[in-house]
Amino acid sequence: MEKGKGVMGSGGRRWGVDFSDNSTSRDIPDPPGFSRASLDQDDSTLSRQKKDAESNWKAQKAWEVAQAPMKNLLMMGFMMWMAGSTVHLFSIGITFSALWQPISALQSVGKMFEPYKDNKVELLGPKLLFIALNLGGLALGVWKLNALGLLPTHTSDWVSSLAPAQEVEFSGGGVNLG
Amino acid sequence: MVTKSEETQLSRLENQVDNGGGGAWEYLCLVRKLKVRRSEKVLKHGLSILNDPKHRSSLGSDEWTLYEQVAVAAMDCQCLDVAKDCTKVLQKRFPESKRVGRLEAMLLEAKGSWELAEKAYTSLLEDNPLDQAIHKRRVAMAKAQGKISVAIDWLNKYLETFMADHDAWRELAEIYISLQMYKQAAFCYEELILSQPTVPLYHLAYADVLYTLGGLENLQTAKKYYSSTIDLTGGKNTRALFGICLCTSAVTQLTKGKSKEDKEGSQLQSLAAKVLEKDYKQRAPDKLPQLTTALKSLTLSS
Repeated sequence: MEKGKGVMGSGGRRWGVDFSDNSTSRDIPDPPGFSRASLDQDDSTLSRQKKDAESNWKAQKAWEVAQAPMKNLLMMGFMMWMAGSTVHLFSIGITFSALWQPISALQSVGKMFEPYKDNKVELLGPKLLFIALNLGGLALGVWKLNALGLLPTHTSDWVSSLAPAQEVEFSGGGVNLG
Repeated sequence: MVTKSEETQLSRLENQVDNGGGGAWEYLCLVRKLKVRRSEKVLKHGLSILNDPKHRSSLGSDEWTLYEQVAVAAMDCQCLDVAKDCTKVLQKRFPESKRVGRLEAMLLEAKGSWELAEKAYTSLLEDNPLDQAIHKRRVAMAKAQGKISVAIDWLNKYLETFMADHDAWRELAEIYISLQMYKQAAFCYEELILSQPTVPLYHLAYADVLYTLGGLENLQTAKKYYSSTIDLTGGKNTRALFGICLCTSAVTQLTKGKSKEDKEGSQLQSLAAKVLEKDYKQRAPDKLPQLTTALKSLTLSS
């Protein structure tokens, strides 16, 4: 290689250094392990492709998170069925955990989907599905509570809060007034 | 790489030997151990030992090592007669030695007899294909002749066998930079950083290449590597500090204030500028006005 040939153009200024990138040059071998695949596309295309791939991945993961309560729902249903309908410590524990899990999940919807926030990713669908499934879980818990007879759905459950009946008439007998 | 203490020891011994305080052999041993290039001094003090039969015989088997060391130094100083004499002595003592064969080939190379040297190296490699020094000599020879693509070819072949040779990767990176093949050079520096992540020099060189390549992503990565250089050098690398300022300025120009990390970037730039000013105040106070002007122009352009 002639001195300065690669740096300065033949007709250019003496110190007019041309910093153009010669990385795509084919006549000089590449280092071992170097891949030319990235050179064949320009950087903007490459970064766009990378961003698109990332967005697709985020969308996929968001749907996975949204569908996660489904497995939980099935497992809880099975556990409730196994616990039976008699009131004892085990069945009450399972029922209350079935109620608590969806409630805590619903409180942290924003936090759950935080990592998948992106301008190109629509999170409304996954969020709605997530909320719906958790509400389903909550409904299942409430149904089990009712099956155990722990829901105050009868009049007798509210007796304590009823006002005492007003006495209209009072009668007494066998009292000697004399 | 030569450490600070080794450098101090070397310069102390050098002064001692130059001022006639003795210790020439110790100095030559240290030069050999540290693999530093002090050809003129080695030639001068080495010959003084070799020309003194009493001193020479006291070395025992190390005498031949000294002959070799002086021969290489003589070639470097273009004292080809001395090199020839030393090689002849070694050839007489070790007639079948490949190591002496290499010296003879180097002598041919020093004379500029490229074809003969090439033949000699090829025959030596046929006997021992894993001789790293000969492979490297071939690369050096191709470079000396200005055959850059041939040098790259040899280096690539060499690296396929000896992938852990840091010096070879660095040499390849520098050749690619001279040809403005920055992506390939960046790849070489990536290899170096992977194998030796604590050497700040590689981080700095990689950042320089990325900055030269340009583009938002490359500039942001360059800034990170300049930062890691500063981290690894304890905030003492002036080039990396300037690099931070330049990268931040360039990124700001490209993003036009849209970037989220604008605030963080400007903080980093002002921090680097402060350190630079402090450093210049201590070491080059007369250059401080130029620095201030340069830094101001950077912030204005951003």
